[in-house]
Amino acid sequence: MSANGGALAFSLRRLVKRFPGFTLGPIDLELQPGLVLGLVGPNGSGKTTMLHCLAGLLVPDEGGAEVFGAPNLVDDAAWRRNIGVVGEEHGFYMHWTAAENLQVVASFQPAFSHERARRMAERFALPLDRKVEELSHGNRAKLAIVAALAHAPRLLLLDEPTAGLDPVVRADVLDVLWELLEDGEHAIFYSTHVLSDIARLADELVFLSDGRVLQRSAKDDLVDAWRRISFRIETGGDMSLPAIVEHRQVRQEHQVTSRDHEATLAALRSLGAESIEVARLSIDEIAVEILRAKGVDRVAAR
Amino acid sequence: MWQLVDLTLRYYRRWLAFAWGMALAIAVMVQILTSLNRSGDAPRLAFLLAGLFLVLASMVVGIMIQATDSSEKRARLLMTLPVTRDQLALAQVLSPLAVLALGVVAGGTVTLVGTMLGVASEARPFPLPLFIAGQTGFYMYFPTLMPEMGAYWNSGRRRAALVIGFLLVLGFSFLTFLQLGSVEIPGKPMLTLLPLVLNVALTYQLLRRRRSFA
Repeated sequence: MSANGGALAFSLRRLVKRFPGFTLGPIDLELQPGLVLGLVGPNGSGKTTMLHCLAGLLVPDEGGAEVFGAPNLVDDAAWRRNIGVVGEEHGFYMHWTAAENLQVVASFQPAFSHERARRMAERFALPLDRKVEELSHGNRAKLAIVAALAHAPRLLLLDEPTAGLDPVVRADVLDVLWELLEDGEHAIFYSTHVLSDIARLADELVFLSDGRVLQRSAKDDLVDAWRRISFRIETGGDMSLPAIVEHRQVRQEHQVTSRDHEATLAALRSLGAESIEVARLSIDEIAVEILRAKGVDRVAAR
Repeated sequence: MWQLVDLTLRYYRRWLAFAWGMALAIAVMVQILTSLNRSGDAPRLAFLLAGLFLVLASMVVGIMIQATDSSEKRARLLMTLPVTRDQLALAQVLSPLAVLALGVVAGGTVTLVGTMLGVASEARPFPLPLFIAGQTGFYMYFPTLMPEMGAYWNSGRRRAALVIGFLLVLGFSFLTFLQLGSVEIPGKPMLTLLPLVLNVALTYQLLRRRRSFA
């Protein structure tokens, strides 16, 4: 159940998917309606696999998922009316026009709005009268977004949706997603390497590595807590600082990355550190540090 | 499910029309060539060949449907829509079969027209197209069957993969036995359809157990 008593947008329960040489999970994860959850991880970490399991494109080996309270079974079609999926592959009818492909989607999605599709296509400058095989990679991505959004799905599953799009269209896509969220009933699960997209949209971030969830955090908490701190200190022995994920040292000049700058600063002051300078980190830098550190929270500085 | 079959037939109808056009053109060309050779049997041969080629052309389109749908990742699109795995599996099996059936009807009709015009002399116009459909239809599902069998093998379900392989060998052997000219069996065209039915059932069973649509 969600916080307000309604169904969760999705929940993954002990979900496991195995491939030769790689296993995703077990994963437990859920998302409240009205929120955007960003999925961050290096290539091969299992982001696409997780999204595919949730979208019903892969059948998990263990565990399962629910979308707005309904199990996402491949032999049940009703729950798919609540989702929109954009991935790197689209499956469009290449010899048909973009408009004909949208008509196919419309014939299966009862809530499909031709007016909404037309407006989005105009906004993205998508030529609906062109065959898909003649469309550029970027235009195919736009078509996939229009096809996934035209029925205003309650849960949108996005796997690198803005890959190949120019900055203007990317901004338009993010605007459209933002508008979708306005009523507080829709949710987005968003996987991307373009962390600036997530920085704008996501409420929370999930960090995935080697098929496992490393950490889930509210984006604002991360931005508030993480800092890069430079200082000078004269110490003869080991120096142990809390909440440190990275440490660099040149003689007595130190630079550390802290995931809880208040705790780190308190420790530094008690150790008599001098010339302390604190700098904010971008969400990109924080993500890189989290994925690099893989949960390391203390660094012994020498 | 019928909506999916209809969608597939609409998407590939131009290919089917083109393939049938080619089949008829070949039949006409053969008639011209045999006429030049002053063979009195040329018109009959032309209608006979047209009937056969229409079935063969349909079988080729049936293969192309599976190959193109696979390369265009059709299942990826359809399984993000309110479609069940079972509906998709049925549509994937029935669409090529529908095209082949259209070929049998077209082939039989051409033969029938030849008979009515008095240039062909087939008393029953449909057994031969049916026989050809059975012979070729068995192979039509291989573009779907083989990757699915490979997926079973690679995922460790090797006994299942071997059972499928055994059934294919059985069907292939039965067809070869029927193809032998000296074998005279009553109802041969209908018997030829048995391996095709086996393949349809096998392909459907594999597709309805599919675990990846990505």
